[in-house]
Amino acid sequence: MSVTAVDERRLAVLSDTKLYPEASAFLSRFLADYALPSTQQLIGLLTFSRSWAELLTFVKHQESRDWGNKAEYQQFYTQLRRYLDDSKTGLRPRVKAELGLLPGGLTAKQEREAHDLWAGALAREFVQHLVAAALYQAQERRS
Amino acid sequence: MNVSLQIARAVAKELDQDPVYDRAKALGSQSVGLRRAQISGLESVANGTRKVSDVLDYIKLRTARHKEWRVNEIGAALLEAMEQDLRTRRDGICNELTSLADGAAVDDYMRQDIYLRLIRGFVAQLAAQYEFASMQHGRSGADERDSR
Repeated sequence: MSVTAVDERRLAVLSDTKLYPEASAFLSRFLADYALPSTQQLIGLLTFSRSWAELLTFVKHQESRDWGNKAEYQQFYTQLRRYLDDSKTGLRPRVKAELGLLPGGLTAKQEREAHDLWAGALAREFVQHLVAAALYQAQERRS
Repeated sequence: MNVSLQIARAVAKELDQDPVYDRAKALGSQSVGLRRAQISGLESVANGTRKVSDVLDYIKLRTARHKEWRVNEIGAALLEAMEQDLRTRRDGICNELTSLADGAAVDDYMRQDIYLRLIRGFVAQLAAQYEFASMQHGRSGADERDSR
């Protein structure tokens, strides 16, 4: 048996109670020191948030690029990678340790699949909130 | 009385408060720069989602992308009403339900459900006020265009 879906109801509550405020806080912390990345960068991030693997590959790739005089872009992706995948505080380890989203009785393979599914679903919600907040902030700052 | 009925009654009572009606009326009038399809879009998102954050994200994205949502600062005013006033009212209802249920916990699912019901009710009031304000402004032509 493979794990193919997350509990959408639980995901919806976590999206509202944890990921939305965390996306706002992430953005506020970032904007205290740096300028916002461009709209194209944010839309790109949204596009790659369809799966955990795609998102993490994209974020790591963007982090390792030579951004020249746009140091804030590198910072943005570094901070985002830490939020998602830090070995202690990242979203992925939180799936099991803090949020208790993995059911018991799974084989190692099933647990890995479930872990990836939940991490991907949570990350997609976080990125959606982050991008909406960032585009809104960018417009507020222009006007 | 079961919990569902208690929630429905508490939300209806809250939406019936004068300050809520007055705010919906003000925002409905403030929204006349929007097209009917834009108001319908907001109603569709509010009625079709199970996440409050979907409604808030929708308003943020529309405000960022379309200048009509920035006229009279309607986008910002809507966000403020939902994130401040309706959230406070949600908390009030939850406290009231806790005391009614002898201290039984109001869980995250119920809190989310109450918040969404308040938002849906508020958006419905706003949409009605928008229709009335649009009629007063003689904008029925815009309605016809949008219904095609």
